[in-house]
Amino acid sequence: MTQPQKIPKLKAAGTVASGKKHAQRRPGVPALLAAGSGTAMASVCAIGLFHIEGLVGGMWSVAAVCIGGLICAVLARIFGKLSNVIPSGAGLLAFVSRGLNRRLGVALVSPYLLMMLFLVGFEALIVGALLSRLAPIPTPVGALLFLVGTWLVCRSGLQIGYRAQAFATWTLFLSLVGLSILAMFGAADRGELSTSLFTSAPSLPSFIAAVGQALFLFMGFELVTSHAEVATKKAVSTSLWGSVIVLTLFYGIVSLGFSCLMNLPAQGHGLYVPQLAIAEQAGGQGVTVIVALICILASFSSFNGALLALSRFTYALAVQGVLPRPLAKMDPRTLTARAALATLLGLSLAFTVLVYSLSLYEASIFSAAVAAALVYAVATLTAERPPFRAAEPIGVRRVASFALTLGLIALGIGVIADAGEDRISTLMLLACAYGAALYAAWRTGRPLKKAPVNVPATSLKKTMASPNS
Amino acid sequence: MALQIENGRVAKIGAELEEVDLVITSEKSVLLDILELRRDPNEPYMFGELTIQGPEDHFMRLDYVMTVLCPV
Repeated sequence: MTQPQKIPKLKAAGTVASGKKHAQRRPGVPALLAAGSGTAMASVCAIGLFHIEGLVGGMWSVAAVCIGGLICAVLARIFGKLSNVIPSGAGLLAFVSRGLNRRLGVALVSPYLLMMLFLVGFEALIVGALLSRLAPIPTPVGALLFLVGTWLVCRSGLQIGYRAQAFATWTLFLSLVGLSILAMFGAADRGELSTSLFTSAPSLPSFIAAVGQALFLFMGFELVTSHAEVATKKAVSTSLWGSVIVLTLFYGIVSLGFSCLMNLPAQGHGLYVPQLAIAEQAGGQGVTVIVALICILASFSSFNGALLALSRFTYALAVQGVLPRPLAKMDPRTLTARAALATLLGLSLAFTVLVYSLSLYEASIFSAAVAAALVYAVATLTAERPPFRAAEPIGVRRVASFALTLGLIALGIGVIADAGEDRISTLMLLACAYGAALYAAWRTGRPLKKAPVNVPATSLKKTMASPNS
Repeated sequence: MALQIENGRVAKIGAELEEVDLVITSEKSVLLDILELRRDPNEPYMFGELTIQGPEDHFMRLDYVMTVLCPV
């Protein structure tokens, strides 16, 4: 007869700025709005926005952002529906697995998550560049400090609370929007405003590529659904489309500010951080330091949440044998998957080295944009399948969903088509991401079942009779 | 089904509880597999067959307990 296993007493996990270990209030719309917008407002998105501005220019970049925002507003409704039916923190993977099947879920969602991790490498380099403005630290060293520092915080089980996230998001929003407006006033003073904003019409392929790249700017807004376990369904749905509105406003105004930038770098200059450039032009040295600090804080809060979420995803896949078993370990004190966290740190460092040494700046943005377009297409398709929608005859709504799915795929193709000299590296990054995902999908088999552990019924009865024994 | 757990042990089963910390929803077969330690809860959770409502740290503690009892 086997003895029942002794269950270790677990301490509650702490959260930064929550102040309460056990009682947690449900986050409302303002908190989720900050979380959803903040996740998408990564420093790397400013570079993506700058690239769009360079591709189509002036008001055309605003138009591309607005169309991207419109598409994401429709997607917000779709994600709201998916989350209402399956309010799971596992998000996209849960939705697609239930709507299609598990293997397709892993194959189609994993590349998106992998590209998010790859972008961390780019983000780390931007933070390194920001840190080099604050202290005499080379950019790669600053990137290393950012990654290791965030990893150490995650390893201790600390996660940025909603209030801290809101502070980071809204200060970033107000500072960059404010500076962009100042830059426009500066351009008006110089008599350059109309030439900066009203540029000649771009070619149709370039505009389509710009819209496809605009999807990249909103990447991550749908992660509001991961709060479905602690928030109400209405709060999640409202925050989804609210985040899209906030992001569209933010990117639209900042894009106009970027249109008014002077002293643009020559091609092949390397890493150019437009948010620093606009701070210098519109605000001066002191403002540049403040903006650098705000951007670092925003990047830290995004990476902190993403790293913890990805570590749990890695842990869950390892428990099922899709990933190596040593990653399936949870630290009882901090309730973190430390082995998975260490692996993700290693991957982030490797991606940082890759992006830096091979100058994969544009390729990483393009491949992330393609992965986002494809996963959003899959989500649109999933929303038309049971259990999200009952089987019914094909009507206008289904045709519209199918058209949106095809449109999103076309946008992804458009990004690749207009990638120019970065096309090969973009395709290679995508091939690696989807190849790894297909392998993981192949290893994702049927539900794992084991023989039950022999816990005697008598010991359970004794426990119920005297719970303090 | 409602479980009241005190000091890591089941104190009450079956009765409805006034204050609920954690709600776990799934098909009966999945819940039975998990409670009889035939299946790890992460797998149905990741693939949308099990949902939870409640503070994340409660779920993480419960998940840890189940993983200890149902080792990989």
